[in-house]
Parts: sequence; structure tokens; C-alpha cells
Amino acid sequence: MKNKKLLLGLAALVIAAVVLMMIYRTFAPRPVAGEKTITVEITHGDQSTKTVVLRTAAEHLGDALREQEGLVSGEEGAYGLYIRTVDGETASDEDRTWWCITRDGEELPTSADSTVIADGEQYGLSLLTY
Amino acid sequence: MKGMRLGTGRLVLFALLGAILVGLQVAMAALPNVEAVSLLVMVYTVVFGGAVAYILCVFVVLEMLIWGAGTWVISYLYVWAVLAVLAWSLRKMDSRLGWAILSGSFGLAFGALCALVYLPVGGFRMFAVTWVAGIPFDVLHCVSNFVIAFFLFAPCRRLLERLWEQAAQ
Repeated sequence: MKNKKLLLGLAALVIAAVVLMMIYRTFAPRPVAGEKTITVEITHGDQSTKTVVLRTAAEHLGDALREQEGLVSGEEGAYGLYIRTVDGETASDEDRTWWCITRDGEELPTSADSTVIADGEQYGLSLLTY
Repeated sequence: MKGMRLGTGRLVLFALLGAILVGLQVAMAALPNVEAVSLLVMVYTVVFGGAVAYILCVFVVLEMLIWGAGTWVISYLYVWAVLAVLAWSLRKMDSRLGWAILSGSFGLAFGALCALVYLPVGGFRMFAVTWVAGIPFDVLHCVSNFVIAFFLFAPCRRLLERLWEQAAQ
């Protein structure tokens, strides 16, 4: 009886994981093929700003940013590119600073490499302190 | 409330156990959603009962000092407490498969639990976007939590119970 309950619990867990993956496949943004134009507003640590317009066929923000020479660099991690430097300014653990990615003013829950882009979107890269 | 009384020895012990949580979290930070915090929160809860609250407080404060304050801090105030309450309610369970299922389920629900903080800020849309974006990582979290708890919960529990008994003598 006890084993049966545990096996039922295990089956429920597997089913829940499968259902969640189906939800992800259904509702997660899908990459869009073709040329896109996105705007990236960079806010430096001294609050100066610079706007860059990117024309790209890339499907993800990380690839679009990499295409523009000298715009971003960083470390490749488990979640893709971890942006360290933007437009020549580097975030550091010593200064407790990091580059925050926003879309339409809202902080993104995803990394640059897992953010699907669409034509006309407005992104922000801001150097913030934690 | 006997278990909640905090003498000097317990104060030091709980601070140390909280620091171990942080140390493991930082050491495993490079592995996406593979962590030993869930395992230890369950073990601490079944061994120390309600006093796990002290350890969780140490953990959250130290995490905040390392990573800075953000919305995730608010979620950390309740997600680990949810796991502790569940572990406490199942403290008599001796099946390692059962503990693995609990830990795996917590890993699977982790993203949704953390995304709850976005409900009052950005409504259901923001909650759903944040949660859905992290589902693949939640599934990975589920698998890693399951495997870690399946193999390590019972030995960690036995070890900590033995050490706790020796310390009490």
C-alpha cells in the first residue's frame, strides 16, 4: 500500500513535468525568422545613454548583440552569454555592478541568449548596482 | 517551544548550518538549477524542527549580502519555508523515494513559487511570462533535486541526527 502510494506520487511527478514542458512548448515565445529591427538603449553607470539600432536576422537577443562589433562581451555560462561589458563599460563584482536587460522597461526573466526577439522591440541595457 | 529555545551553542550551530547552505549554494552556482539547498533544508527540518527558521534566516540574510537585494529576496522569504513546512509534515516518512519525490516536486514548482512575487507588481501576465520562461530550468531542477535527495537524504539525516544526539549528551 505504501509502495503503491509512492509509485503513484512518482507517476504524478513525471506527469506534472511532462505537462509543464507541454505548457512551455505551447506558450513560450517562438523564434521569428527574417529580418528584424530592434532598438537597444544603453544606460551607463554615469547615467549617460546611447541608443543603438540593430538590423538583424538573429532569432535571439544574444546573437543580435554579438553581431554588432564591440557592443557587448562577457562570459559564456550555463544560461548563455553573461554580459560583462557593454559599449566599453565593464560591470564588476568589486563594484557590485551588473548589466540589467529590459524590454519595454520591464526587467527580463531570461538571459540574452534565451530571449526571443521580434521586429520593432525596444530593449534596454542598464548598469545597475546590487 | 522547547526546540526553539536559542542558547549560545545552538546559535553558533544554526549560524554554521546557515553558512553551509550559502557555501554550497555559491559553490554550485555555476550548475544551472542543481543545488543542495533543498536537500539540506529538508534534513535540517526533520532534525531540528521549527528551529530551522533560524537557519533559513541566516541563509536569506547572507544570500542578500552576497547577491544584493532584489525581488528574489522576497521569494526566498517564503519558498524555503514552504519546503520546510512540507518536510516537517512528512518527517516520519522513511522512504528515500518519498523524500526524492518531495524534493523533485519542490524543484518543479520552484519557478512558479518564485514568480508569485510578480503577481502584485505586474499581474498574472508578468507571473505567467516569468514562470513559463523558466520551465525547462524547473524540470532540470526537478530531476537534479530528485537524484540528490534519493541518494543523499537518508545518509545526511542519519549523520546529522547522530551528531545532534552526541552534542546533546
